[in-house]
Amino acid sequence: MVSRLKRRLQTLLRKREMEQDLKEELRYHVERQIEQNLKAGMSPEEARRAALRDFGGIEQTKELCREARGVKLIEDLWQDLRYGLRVLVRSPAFTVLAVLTLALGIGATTTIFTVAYAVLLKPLPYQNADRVVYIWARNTRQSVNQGYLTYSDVFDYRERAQSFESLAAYTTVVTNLTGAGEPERIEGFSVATDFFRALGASPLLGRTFTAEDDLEDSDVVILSYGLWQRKFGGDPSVIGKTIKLDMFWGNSFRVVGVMPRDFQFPERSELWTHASFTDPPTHADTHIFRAIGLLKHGVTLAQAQAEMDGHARRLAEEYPESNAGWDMNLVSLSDYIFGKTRVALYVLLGAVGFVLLIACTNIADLQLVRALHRRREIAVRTAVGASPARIIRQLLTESLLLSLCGGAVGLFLAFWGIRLLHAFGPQSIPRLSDIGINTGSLLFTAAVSLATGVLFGIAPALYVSKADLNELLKEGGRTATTSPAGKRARNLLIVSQMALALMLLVGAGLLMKSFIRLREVSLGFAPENILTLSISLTRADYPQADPRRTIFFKEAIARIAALHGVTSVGAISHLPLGGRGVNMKFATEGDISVNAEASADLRVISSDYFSALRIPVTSGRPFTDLDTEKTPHVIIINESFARIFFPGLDPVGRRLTINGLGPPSPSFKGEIVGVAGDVRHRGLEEDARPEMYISYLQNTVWPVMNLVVQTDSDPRGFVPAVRREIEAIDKGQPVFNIKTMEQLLSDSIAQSRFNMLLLASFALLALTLAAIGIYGVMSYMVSLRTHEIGVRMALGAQAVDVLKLVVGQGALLILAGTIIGLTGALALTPVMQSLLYGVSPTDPLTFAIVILVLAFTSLFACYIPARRATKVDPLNALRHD
Amino acid sequence: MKRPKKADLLQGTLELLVLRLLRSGQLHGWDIMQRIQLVSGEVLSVTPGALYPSLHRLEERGLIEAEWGSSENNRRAKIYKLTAAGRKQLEAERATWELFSGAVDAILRDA
Repeated sequence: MVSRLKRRLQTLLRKREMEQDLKEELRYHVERQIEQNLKAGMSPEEARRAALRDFGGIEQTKELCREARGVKLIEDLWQDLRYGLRVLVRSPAFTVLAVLTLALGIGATTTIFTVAYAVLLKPLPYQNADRVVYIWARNTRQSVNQGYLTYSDVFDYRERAQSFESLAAYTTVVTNLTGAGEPERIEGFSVATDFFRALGASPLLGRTFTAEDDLEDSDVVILSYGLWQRKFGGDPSVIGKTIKLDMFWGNSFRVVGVMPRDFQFPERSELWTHASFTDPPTHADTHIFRAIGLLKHGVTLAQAQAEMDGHARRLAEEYPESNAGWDMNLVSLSDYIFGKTRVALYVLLGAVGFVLLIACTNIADLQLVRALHRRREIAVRTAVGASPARIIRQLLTESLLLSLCGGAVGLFLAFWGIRLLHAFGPQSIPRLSDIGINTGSLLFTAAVSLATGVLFGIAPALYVSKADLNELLKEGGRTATTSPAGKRARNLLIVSQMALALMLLVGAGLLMKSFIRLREVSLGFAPENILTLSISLTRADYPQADPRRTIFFKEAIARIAALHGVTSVGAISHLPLGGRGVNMKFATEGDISVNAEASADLRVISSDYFSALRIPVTSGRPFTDLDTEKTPHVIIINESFARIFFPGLDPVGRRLTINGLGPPSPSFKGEIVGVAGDVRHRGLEEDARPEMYISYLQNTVWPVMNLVVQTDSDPRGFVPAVRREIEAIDKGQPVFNIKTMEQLLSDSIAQSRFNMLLLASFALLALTLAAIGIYGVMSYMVSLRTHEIGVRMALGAQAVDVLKLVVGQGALLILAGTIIGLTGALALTPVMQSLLYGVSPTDPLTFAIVILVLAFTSLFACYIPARRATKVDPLNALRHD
Repeated sequence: MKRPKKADLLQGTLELLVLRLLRSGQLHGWDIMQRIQLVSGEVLSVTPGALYPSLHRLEERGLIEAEWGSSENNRRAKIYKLTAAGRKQLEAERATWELFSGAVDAILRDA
């Protein structure tokens, strides 16, 4: 096989030489013949003529030799290409339509593929990515599925688990970097010694953390490439130097390493401080740690999970107070990072695949019609000796030309599509901004173009090449076009288009309904005209448990509230839609007792917070400025809290002890003075959970507060004034995350909106293509049956009858497509489940609307040609032949 | 009135003959043509238009190979010889041929 290929290549490359050889070989033959003739006694002239005559056609022989060598194949291809191009150029309307249709399909597919490739297929940029698992704390009874670990969890599991080479915990730290230019708020992670080793990440400079850091318990820090460049000018001598960070456990940190530019885990981080997990566990701490584990070689995720389940059971027996109900849920790193995005991308990838298929069927149909028209031409070519294989090759070449043109234009569209995604894609798609058209996408486009060319080219080519020559030439190629096989092929195309379009429309419909549901969710607060901003107080200037913190925020609130146009100002430790808050254990007093593990999210607020966000206080009272350190501690709970822990009782006046709060005292005892409405703090899709509020005037733990400023006009206009007021109090405190509440709201549903918009556009595209498809088929049918329709009308058929005839035939196809599509949609909907909010994947209303939309659109597409049929003049039609 | 016709060779048969002739030694195209006529007692004839494409096809399939050498009268000629693959192919085709012709013979004789 290889040697043959080599010979063929040689033949191609050494074409001139081969030609020369061939000429010489044949000349030798002729000369030998002349010699023989001379010997036989002919005159030289006669001998030559006889030799040439006996030889036959020298040029034909040469051609046959070339063919025998396979050179012919290439030359045929060239001929086919030229011929195909001529054919395409001859019908520009068809060509442009086909290329555009394909370009849309291929462009969309390439765009989504490029994103999916980067997110789903490309290996994660960690050396040990396939062995690293992420560890969620889980408590099914409290419906916590993706919880954080406690210090004790980290300690216990790390000691006991045999499945892991290392188990490393980390937690976010937010700090202010001082002493290197402007004070700056820095977000980073505090990580265990093994963190970098578990991921297999090496530093660019210096070292990562080692066991010695555990022993010495010194304050060491590793810088990110970005921070190193920005704050230290990329100076390698930074290693060993001390920088000023504002942490509660210290403020001078020795730099031991710098990480490479592309290292980030799990999200962007500016620095990593070291956390020791050497102190014995207390089994009375809060869930604040995330953890990863590096599986030992050969240990599977399931084995590790089984081992962890065993430990969880034993720990729950040993420490029922803290561990009852809790276990660990291991997920692969890619599941952790991409989880929901992955499903969405698969759905989108499937959707563009459907669009491409519909585009293919459209073009297959056009090709079929054209091929039928060209049956005469093809029959003639067959008659003069073209083999069926040759005819198929010719038609396929044309299709491939089309699809490759479509692919080229599609690639251009994909470039544009990716740019669009960069601009409008949600941030929840990891690494979106790094994604661009790459070699993978190019290969993909090429493969898809070729595949589509073959896909829509092969059926028409096969069908036409089988044409019965005699029949065709006899019938003049007219009646043959209505042959049952051709009609079946076209009907099949229409039915499959309808089915595919229906499935896409159902997907889009469900996402749309889900998105509307999401928008309708009662937030529990009014997001209009609210400006939010965060202030992080440097601990060195505002120490923990120091009244200076309270004074700062009190003054900030007062100054901003005094601004013209500001109607109300509140402050909160954790903004709505922004995340989790802090989960705290609590105990009740008196006749109602709660589980020892009962916990609720705690938020620290100012007295005007509820009024600024118009959160109703449904019973009791809100905090006031009169609730201070000197007055008895007070607590407000939300309705969920009241419903779950005090069912059917009035919570106001009861007392709670909130445990695990930092200094000055580890617990906060207070009386419930009010019940506030539920707020979707964790995001629109998550139901409200039990929550407790305390006043910042009574607890000074939080150095970071978010101000919510209610204004009487566009809140964005107030940014400079608000900034000015804060700087007037203290210039050294960073202000960040300045956003309107409506922006936060919009960000929080960005992924849903993105899924919905993309799928909706694909569905619209599919619907349009399918409508064009059925329109084309019905028009063609009408043009074929002009004669018959004329006869019917001559015999007294009314316009209505003709309409019925044509539309009726289309309706049958639509019905068949709808039924198949419904079956497909029902089979596929489980995939959609996780992308939906508040809608069942088999939502009957959505299905009904979708069917109606599809039926109306496609019936309308049938109606246009049907109307044309009613305009048929019987006389003309009968004269037609 | 029909003229007596020389039998035309089918392509496959011609290739079989070429392989057989080359087993006895190296030959160039003209020689092969002469031999076929000679050996078959002028019954079988082959035209250059059939012979040369066959030779090139066999060469393309690797059953024979060619090199330029000098012919008896010292002119450059393309001389073909059998390859190992060609030898194997010859044996196989020869067996098939014998089976086939034997069967045809049997039918012609008895039927």
